[in-house]
Amino acid sequence: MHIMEGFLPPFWAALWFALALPVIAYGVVRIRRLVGEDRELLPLLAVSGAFIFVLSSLKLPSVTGSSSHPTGTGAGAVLFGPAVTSVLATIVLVYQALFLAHGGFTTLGANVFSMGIAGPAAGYAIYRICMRARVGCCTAVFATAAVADIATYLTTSTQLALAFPATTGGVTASFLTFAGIFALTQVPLAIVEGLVIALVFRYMIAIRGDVLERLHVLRREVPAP
Amino acid sequence: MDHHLLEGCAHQNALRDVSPQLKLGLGLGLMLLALAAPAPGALVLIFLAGVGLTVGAARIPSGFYLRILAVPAGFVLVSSALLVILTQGGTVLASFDLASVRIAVTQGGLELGITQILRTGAGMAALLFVAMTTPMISLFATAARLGVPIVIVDLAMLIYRFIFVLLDEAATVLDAQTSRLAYGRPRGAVRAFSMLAGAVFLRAWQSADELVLAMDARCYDGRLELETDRPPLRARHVLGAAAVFVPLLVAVLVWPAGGLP
Repeated sequence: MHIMEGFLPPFWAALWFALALPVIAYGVVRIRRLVGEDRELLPLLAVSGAFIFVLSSLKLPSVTGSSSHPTGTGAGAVLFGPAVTSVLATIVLVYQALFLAHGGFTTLGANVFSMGIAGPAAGYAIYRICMRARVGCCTAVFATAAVADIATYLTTSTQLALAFPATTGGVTASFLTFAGIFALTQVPLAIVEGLVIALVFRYMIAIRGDVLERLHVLRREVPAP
Repeated sequence: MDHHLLEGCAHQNALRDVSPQLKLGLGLGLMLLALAAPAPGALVLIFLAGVGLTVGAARIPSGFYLRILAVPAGFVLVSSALLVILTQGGTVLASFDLASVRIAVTQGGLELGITQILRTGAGMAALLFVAMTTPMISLFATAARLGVPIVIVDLAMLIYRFIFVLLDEAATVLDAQTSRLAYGRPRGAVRAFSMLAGAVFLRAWQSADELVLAMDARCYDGRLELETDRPPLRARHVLGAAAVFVPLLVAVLVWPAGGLP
């Protein structure tokens, strides 16, 4: 879920840019190092970025209404970590604005912060917790994708609430209203995306486990099914 | 599958021989004006300028344009309706009870809601102007010149390429699945969709491997060549852009914030 072009007032648009830029810069440094070590990673990163784009442009058949779609950034966080995912998400968000009229340029900072930084970071944290607790791979991936989705939509609601606080009740009332309305589509969507991404991982482990091994996902002693 | 990507019409619009930097600059300028404009009237003018540039000057079919403009409408209408309810100020125009919660529509709330709709409309019209007239491929050189690191420009170019590879793959798999009634029931749909996503990722991974091989065979040294800036900046195009931008800038500066009629 993205904030459309023109919706955020100038101050907030600029603030979210300022908050997102350091993370993107760190992600660029990491990508440069990763690609320097193993330049075969560049095409792989590109495929993952394109995958995030395509996944988010395909509407889930079982979810009706609204511009809801999976974000795919949870999977990116598992594969590459949150900083690199934020760079991929930034490129994907620019393409979504230019190819699908989804999102915008002045709201890019806010959208990168919610979909590219807050979502993957929350998802990655859950993933690490699951790994430490030795939860099965599919459950961990399900939790990662679902949490990344929910964190993204809660961040978007916060961004809208901060920019447009309610006259009575202020930011809190505004946040509860936005989060409450968007929950109607976003919570079922998060669960479906979690299921989908978990099944995708199971499918990929079954067919080409070596792919994930090269990405060091399986190296953390995840029991392959 | 790719018919709804705006990229398609960006390759065949009437403004394709105008410098991409100029089109990007004008589009971003209009977006900033839309953010800064205090008056609803100025927002309407920016919206009309964006539509005029895209449908009139670039000759994008109006039916297609309207369909794309409807994409953000859902988000904008829902969010603006919430703003109307959340913001109170001035005279109460209407009020009703919804599940024991009193909901009032006031002058101030209505003004904010309508201004938000107009502002987003103006911003989207400017965004669509860039999206529908400027092919992405001509923006990579601009991005590099603006200081985007080369590794990121390379990554963006490869992502661009793989988007079309993946969309083709996904369309093929989706056709095959649909013809076998894979999306009949919700449970089956989730399963089928994950198989589609998994298969598409693996096949794209494979073609990425092949791409590395092909690039190696052509002496890839970690840098992709950028297309040079074409078409060049022309004086009459700059004058045309200024003729659109300057009057709008003046309108934004002199038109005071005011209530809606």
